[in-house]
Amino acid sequence: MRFFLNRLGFLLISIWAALTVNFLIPRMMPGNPVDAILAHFQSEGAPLGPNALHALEQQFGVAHSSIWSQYLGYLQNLLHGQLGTSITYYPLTVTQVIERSLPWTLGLAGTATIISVLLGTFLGVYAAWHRGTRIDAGLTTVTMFTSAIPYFWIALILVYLFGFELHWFPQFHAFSTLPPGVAWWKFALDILYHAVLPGATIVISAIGGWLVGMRNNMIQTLGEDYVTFARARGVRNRRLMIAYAARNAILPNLTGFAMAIGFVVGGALLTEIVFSYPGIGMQLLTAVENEDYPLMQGIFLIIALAVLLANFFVEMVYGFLDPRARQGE
Amino acid sequence: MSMSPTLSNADSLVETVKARRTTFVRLLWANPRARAGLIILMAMIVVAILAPVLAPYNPTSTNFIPSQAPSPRHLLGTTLQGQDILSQLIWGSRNSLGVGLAVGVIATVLSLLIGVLPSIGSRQVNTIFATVTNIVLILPGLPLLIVLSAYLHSSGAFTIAAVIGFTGWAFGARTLRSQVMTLRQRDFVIAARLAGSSQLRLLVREILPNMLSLVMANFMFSILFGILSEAGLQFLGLGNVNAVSWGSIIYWSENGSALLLGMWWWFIPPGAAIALVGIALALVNSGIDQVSNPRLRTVAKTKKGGILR
Amino acid sequence: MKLKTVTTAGMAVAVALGMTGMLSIPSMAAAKGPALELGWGVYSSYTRNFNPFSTTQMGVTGEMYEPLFYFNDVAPKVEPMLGTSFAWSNHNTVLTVHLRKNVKWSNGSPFTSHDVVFTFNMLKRFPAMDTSGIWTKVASVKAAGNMTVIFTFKKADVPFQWYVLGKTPIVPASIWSKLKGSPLKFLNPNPVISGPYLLHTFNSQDVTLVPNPKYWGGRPQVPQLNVPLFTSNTAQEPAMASGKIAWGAYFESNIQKLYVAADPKYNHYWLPPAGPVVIYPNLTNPLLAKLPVRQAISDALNRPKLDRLAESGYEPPANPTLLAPRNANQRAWIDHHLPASDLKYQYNPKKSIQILTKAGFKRNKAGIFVSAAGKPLSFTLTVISGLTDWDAQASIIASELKAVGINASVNLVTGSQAYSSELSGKFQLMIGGPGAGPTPYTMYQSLFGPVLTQGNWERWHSPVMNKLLNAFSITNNRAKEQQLANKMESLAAKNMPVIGLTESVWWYEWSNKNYVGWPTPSNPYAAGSSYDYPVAALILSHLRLR
Repeated sequence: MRFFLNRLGFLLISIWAALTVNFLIPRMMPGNPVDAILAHFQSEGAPLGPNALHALEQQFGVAHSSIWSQYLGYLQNLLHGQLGTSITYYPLTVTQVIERSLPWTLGLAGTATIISVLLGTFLGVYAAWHRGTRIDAGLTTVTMFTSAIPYFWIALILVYLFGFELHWFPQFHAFSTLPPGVAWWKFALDILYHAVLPGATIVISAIGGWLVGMRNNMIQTLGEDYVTFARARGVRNRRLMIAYAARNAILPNLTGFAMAIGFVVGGALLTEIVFSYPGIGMQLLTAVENEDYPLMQGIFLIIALAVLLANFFVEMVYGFLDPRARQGE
Repeated sequence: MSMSPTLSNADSLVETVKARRTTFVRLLWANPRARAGLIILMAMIVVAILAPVLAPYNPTSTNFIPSQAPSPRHLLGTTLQGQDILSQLIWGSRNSLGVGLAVGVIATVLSLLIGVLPSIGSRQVNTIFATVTNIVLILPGLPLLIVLSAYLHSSGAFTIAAVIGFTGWAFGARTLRSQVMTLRQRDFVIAARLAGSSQLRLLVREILPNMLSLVMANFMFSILFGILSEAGLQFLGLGNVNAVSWGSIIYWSENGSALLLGMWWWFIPPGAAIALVGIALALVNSGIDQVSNPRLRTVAKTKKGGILR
Repeated sequence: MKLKTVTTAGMAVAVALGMTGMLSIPSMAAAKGPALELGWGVYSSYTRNFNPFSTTQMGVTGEMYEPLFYFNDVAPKVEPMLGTSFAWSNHNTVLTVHLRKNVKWSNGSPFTSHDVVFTFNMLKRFPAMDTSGIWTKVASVKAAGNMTVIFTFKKADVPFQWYVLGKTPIVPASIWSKLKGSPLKFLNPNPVISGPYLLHTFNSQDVTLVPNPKYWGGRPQVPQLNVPLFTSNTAQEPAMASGKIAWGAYFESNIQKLYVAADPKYNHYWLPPAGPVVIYPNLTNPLLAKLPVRQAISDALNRPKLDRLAESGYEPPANPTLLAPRNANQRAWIDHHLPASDLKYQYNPKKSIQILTKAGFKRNKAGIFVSAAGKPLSFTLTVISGLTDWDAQASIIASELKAVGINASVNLVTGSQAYSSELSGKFQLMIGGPGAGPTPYTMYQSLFGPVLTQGNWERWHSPVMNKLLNAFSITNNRAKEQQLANKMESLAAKNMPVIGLTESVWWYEWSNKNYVGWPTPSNPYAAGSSYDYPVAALILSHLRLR
């Protein structure tokens, strides 16, 4: 119970800290959204009319109140679940914008992350079992390389090769416009088809970490006394590998998994941008470019909450599985 | 690698650390992976240092015929703006490697200060720093960087490095911290404590020397993190796009639709250069893993591959 | 019927797609020929917002809502749209507009003066909508019968007719008068329109439009317009390169290779000049206030090189009058009797050095010129980061200035930082692009006029210029206007309050594979860029099946 309260306390403090950072950062940015809109139209060569500055300041209510009262107002609104109105998508609310982009990110990055974790873990176990062999060296080397390469660069090459040159996969977007009344499964297939390249990019960049992590944990566990003992007792290899070693080796990876799941919400930002994927990462970049404070804060908040809650949840599970963890920090 | 308690009786602190360092480096050099990685890294650093000598032209000069394919005069061709790409690549290594190294140093120092040093303090101090670390750890990295980078358009490479470093130390801090916690339970540390060593002395003489490989691994990881983050920011056009770095070459080639226009010589080399550094660092890292005691729980190994997410 | 605007998930999209079948779609029986694929903007995702007054609207309201007239940006001509003629009276303070008869809104109700009066009065009631500032100039808008509207101005301002007649979309009173609260919050998801194209289907990545059978100009021929979403240049370029886009409005670094080469027989581009790209020197800076310094900067710049390297040769050097001779409308205003030096910038770095030396500047050890008071000619050159052509110009400019002993360090900022610096005057040199208008007055008024916030970023206070501007604003006599314009041009060229760099252009790419009738250099009835409101309606009603 004490452990639970302790973690809960940490959760609350972290949420407050995240909220405050979230509040401060956009306000430290120079300029304001109205200026951004005006500059945008001006640089397009089609400036808004002579009265635009005045009109837009009225429309968006550029704040001239003190930062402290803005902060209190912000916390108060959050308590009521209000994230404000987006400026980029005015008059849509931030919640509406997040609602329509979050599912895409969760679908793409979530699935890709789970695939990376499963595949990486499995291959890690496999490599550990064959440690010292060519298979081990090959697997670890290849994935080590793929995770060291800037993945937006790979993504761009994939788009060019498989999208533009070969036409195997769509170059961008999450789905194509199908004629009305098309069967839902066709639509689902279409979504999957669009997710292949961006998903592959994420898996390529992420799998290495999981593989090497799992492999190293495995090798370490395989060196533990109880495994040696079991082997001496004649436990079969497969059973030894899965029931004895892998089960324990996977524990340290859980925290990493929690972080990864939390960060899924943050979106595979660069991937989304390269593939024009309508997820939360792209909205965040748009918000930053347009100095859309409310949207920026809303997205940042969602990302931070996701990480915090995923972490909290895994710590609970971890504490349940491994009593020693409860004694720790 | 031995970790016998007798070591705590070594003559002087400096010698202990030095001795360990020598052994460690020698072992590392003997490891083929680490050696390959170190050779690549050193070669690149030499290129960066000798950029003024090695680069055939001024990297910002726009005096050449634009969009030329590689030729003897321009080994990697020219950009749409008529710049020599080889010269850009060579000069760009200064910015990219410089940012990487600076991030490595900043992040490692911070993770030592915040992750390790508080372990000698009281329980409350410990808790506070652990909480701070955990909070920073879960702040979404790239989004935070993007928001902060609104300031960075014109700033120098080191401001960018500082921002990346200050947002990227927490992982290392947590890793090092848990290692400290583990080591403090080890027999030789307990023995030293019972023998009356002060907390600081304990940390510096007993614990730190045994964490050298982990600190090194963290340093390498932070460099890679720095280089990839800088490249990602530049690619988004959020850095200083007029400064020559590998990331900004990718940004400009992307803006000039290099791939679509068949100008592979503009798009491929900068990414390949980053990849090469990444691979070299990964090689060194895996060498460190192999050299250091496999029974040590080097959490650093579980770090996730993709950084900019 | 409630139609989901935003796609919350795959399911929602499926629902939206399914439901579009329920929209009232006009009969497609007359439709022949393939759909036309449009590409003309970068959005992060589409919002079902067809409110023509919203800054966040979908960029297709140009096909839906029309103003009274179109003031051609590329030829000296005014096209009637919902209006047919207009006249000034009472010392140019009363503007009488006759409206087009037999125009119907897409819901079948007739278009009358009531709609026009309602639209303008709505801007009065909600000043946040009045970006043109109509009600800072206009005192009243009244109907005189069903087909005439009378605008009474507070004081004579003829050039302002552009905003009243050419930039204000007219909306149906029957729909918009029923709104509660600010109309800016109205998403107008199922627009009732006067223009040539109706909304057909909508999802967050794709919008399709179909002809408005009731269009006053006759039923448009293209049976369907597809407007796919492009979230970035990176995303849009492959579509251009594979020849999918039949009408584009994109900045491209190599249109020839990227677009024309995809189908050389049919793919074309035409980039008529819009306004100039300039350096705003902050004239409150004592060094930049000196004319020789500005002249030295100007002479040091190799503008053809700026065009060739930073603008791919698409944006030729600016003209010292800041008007573009390549633009038929602007050419008509240029005084060709001006001395050659006022009609063409020269590239003469040696002269830059001479000018500075003559003005008493001396080079210091670093080779930078220093004023008699010891102040070095060392400036920041601010430019918006991400406008890559301007960024490239800035770095070329910096190296060219360096060559003549002027230090310029490039300061990359966000759009809003740039704008707030312009407002506050906290900059030294700034790259920007003032917009042009139907007459030189619009640009000169914004660039040099007394109202700083309208674009006089360099902070030039010239009583002579202000007098000329004022005289221009109250006359409606073309010969008199020309006389005044000539004087303003000469003043601008000689005093160099801003330093022209290159032209900026209207980006416009098209394919005449399936449809002909596009604006071309030989038939410049409109600038082809769809973002130039309201050309989309005009162009679409000109297109014919090949």
